[in-house]
Amino acid sequence: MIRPKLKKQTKSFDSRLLFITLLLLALGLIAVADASAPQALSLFNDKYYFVKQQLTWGGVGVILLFIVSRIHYGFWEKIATPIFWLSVVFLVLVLVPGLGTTALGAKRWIVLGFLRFQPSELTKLTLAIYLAKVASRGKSTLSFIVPVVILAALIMLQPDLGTTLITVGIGMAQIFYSGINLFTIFGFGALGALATIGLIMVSPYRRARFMTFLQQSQDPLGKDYHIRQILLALGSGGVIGTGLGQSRQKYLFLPEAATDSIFAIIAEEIGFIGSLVLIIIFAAFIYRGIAIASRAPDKFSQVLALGLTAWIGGQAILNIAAMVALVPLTGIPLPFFSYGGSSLVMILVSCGILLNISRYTHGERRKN
Amino acid sequence: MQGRLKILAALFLLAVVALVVRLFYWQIIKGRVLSYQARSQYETDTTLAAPRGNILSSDGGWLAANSEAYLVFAEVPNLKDSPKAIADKLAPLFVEDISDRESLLLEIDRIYSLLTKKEIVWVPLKQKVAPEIKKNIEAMAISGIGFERQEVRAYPEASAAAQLLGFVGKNEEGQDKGYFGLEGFYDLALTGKPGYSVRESDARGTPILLGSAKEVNPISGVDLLTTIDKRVQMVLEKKLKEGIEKYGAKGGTAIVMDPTSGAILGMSSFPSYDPASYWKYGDEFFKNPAVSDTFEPGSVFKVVIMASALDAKAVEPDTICDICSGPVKVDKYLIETWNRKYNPGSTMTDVIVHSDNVGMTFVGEKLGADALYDYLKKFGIGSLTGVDLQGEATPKLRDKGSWSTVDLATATFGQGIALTPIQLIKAVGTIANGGRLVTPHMVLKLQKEGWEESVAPSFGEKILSDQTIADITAMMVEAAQYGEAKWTYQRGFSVAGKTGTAQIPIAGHYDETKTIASFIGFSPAVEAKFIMLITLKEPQTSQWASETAAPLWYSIARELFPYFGIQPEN
Repeated sequence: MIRPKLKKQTKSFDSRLLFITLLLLALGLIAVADASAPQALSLFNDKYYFVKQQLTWGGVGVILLFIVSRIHYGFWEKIATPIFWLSVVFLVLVLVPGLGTTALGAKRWIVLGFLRFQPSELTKLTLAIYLAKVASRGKSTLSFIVPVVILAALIMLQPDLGTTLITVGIGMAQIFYSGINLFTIFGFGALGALATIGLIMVSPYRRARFMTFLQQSQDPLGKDYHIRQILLALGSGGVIGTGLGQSRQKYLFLPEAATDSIFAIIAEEIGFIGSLVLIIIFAAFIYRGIAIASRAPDKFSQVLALGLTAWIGGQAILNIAAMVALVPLTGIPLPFFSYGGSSLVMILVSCGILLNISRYTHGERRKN
Repeated sequence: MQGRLKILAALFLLAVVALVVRLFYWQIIKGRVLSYQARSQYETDTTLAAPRGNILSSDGGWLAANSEAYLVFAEVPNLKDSPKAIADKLAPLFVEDISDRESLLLEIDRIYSLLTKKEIVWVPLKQKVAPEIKKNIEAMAISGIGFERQEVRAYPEASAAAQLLGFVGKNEEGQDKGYFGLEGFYDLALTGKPGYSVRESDARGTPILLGSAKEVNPISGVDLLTTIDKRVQMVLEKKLKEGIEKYGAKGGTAIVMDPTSGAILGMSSFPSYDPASYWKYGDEFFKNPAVSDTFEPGSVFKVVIMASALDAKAVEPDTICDICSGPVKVDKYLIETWNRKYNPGSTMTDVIVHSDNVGMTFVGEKLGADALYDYLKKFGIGSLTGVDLQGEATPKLRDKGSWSTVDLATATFGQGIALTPIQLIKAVGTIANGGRLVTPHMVLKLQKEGWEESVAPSFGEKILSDQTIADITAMMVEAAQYGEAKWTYQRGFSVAGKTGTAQIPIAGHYDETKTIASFIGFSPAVEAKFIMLITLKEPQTSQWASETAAPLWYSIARELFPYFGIQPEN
């Protein structure tokens, strides 16, 4: 298709976002290949086992990304309500014995034949779409709060504190951006904080994790094996890192080396300088996302773009914050990097939506 | 609304800055400490043991050598049979005695529990397994079972020279270390310098394939070329054992030395132990009686005293003993001869031949305590001989000037004075070699491929005049020929010797029935090829050396004469 030059600004993607997305995807695949090798070798006798899986999901994700980027974002507004409730149904199904599978004491997956997926990854997207629709219709504050609370409650039942926090975070960011009265937001915010503390204190497992986090400010290399191994990995990296593939912590010392803790392995191999570059790439992604939100053509696309950015950016920040012991370990994946199909596919789909919105932005001079 | 977006953007920026600052803290400020701690969990330092040097007999044969042994290990993921089946197959090969049901079952349990340990990939099953057992295991072709070469100390002659060789045990750090005998004395040279390797392994202990490895090769220990003559040693072993059984002795020691150089050609003691399984024996077996046990020598010591008196010109061979007609009273003690027969008018030669205690008392009076002390010092009594064996002991000599008349009198016939067998053979060896003091020693050379160093000690000073040597040798020849052990004398061969029957002091007095019987002699009488000392502890068939130690000495000597090329005289 030959594009008329005059209409260029409304018809092309934000190519910088596309570039950043594909860069992150490529880096993520390398990281999984690298960090998962020892565990894959030990479990499946094939050191590429995990990266093969991830590569498949990455491929599926990229195809979906390009398809979605060609679907007008208005489509999502139309189906916002049904897919939101559908995802709620999935979250309920996870809790049904027989359908949901239990791993590490949590029910997070649905198994449909050969397909295994994590509905909570889907709900982050459907929530962002649904709240954007609510915002575009100018509904009452309660219309925003209720869906967030429903999702948060269902995800907490799994239980998955990390995803709950991200879900609530997406909601809060969108609600804030929608222009709801600040006092109302703070009121609900305080309520949410109280609920979170309550949830932490109710479960012995979470309380232990939380206490570990509090204690490690005095004794960072204390009892908790997981955070200790993360910090050993970070420290081993030093300024320039041990070199690609040279991580020692990945040799079964560090739990979740290819999933939630993958950042620690990356930081060990490429050092402070490399991790700084990686954080800057994530910051650039957030910057592009916010730029798209600020120039999006209507309120739905603005709030949606912000929601998707808040999700991916917030999740990256929360994951790394846990790695550097700023927040307790909650067990959320690092977008693009952590091994896991559902997360990767959903993130790439979201990027597709963001790219589609970027085609209709106004006021920014393209310099590509 | 754009204002709120800016606030959100600012929050993101703040969060990113916080991450970077925190990352800087862990990676750069804490980096060194953390990476050091991380290294300690994936790096393992291993000491690479240096092959221990061999101990060789004078002809280069092995007395102690490293032989191959194997560590049997299991690679758990490669095991095809069930742990129970493998344990059942291996246990009978690992236990010492298959008929011992209890230990067999324990061994099966031990292997089974090792194989079923959780999260273990590589597990050592049995250390230091002999090559033939390895072959048997290989024949069963159990997949997942492997071998790693190890080293074990082997003593091809078994207990032939246990106390002389010592054994290799473990030190506090679990490394091989030689104890007692040559293994102990030359431990540093035999050990060599261990190397080390630094290896990286994962959380389960499996080596990391791409991991770096540093290795410093060990420097193997040097071999000891000893003076031990395998033939002599074998004769000593065999005959001493037979003799101890024959005479019902509690134990015994035999030493054969080349008097000219001080080289120990053979040394044996019983009871003994097996150095390859030393842990089965009590500590009391490890000491080498030849260098560690002290005893009152009795009449064999008379030749040392007589040589001193002759050398000091206090007496001459034909000096007449003027007190030999009956028991002599010294202070409040009565000194008698061993058979209570008295020989008035005895010459000094007669005194030695008859082993006359009264005659020796006469010699002591002539010599005097101070001169006696000086001569004992010269002979090396009261000081270590310097033999290169770990554990040499020496009793202290009574201080000069503090000798009473009784001390002087009893010392002349070898009571009330203690020494070790090695000190005695060194002292009498001086007579055998023409008056020179030698250092008894075991090791001629330290050697390694392309390198050797002689460690044989140099000859000492001449302490006895030629005349003294001639006189005392003649007396010893007569003593051997006409003394109380004359019945066992080997006619035709030139032997100078002396018996000794010493009572063992028990709680301040002597027990008449408990004796140490000894015989010391050299052959030929002039330019001796060997000197041999035999001591028997508490022989039961007879308490007298003439009926125990002397015949044993001759039975060994008869085997040695042809070996040393000593011809009968006409």
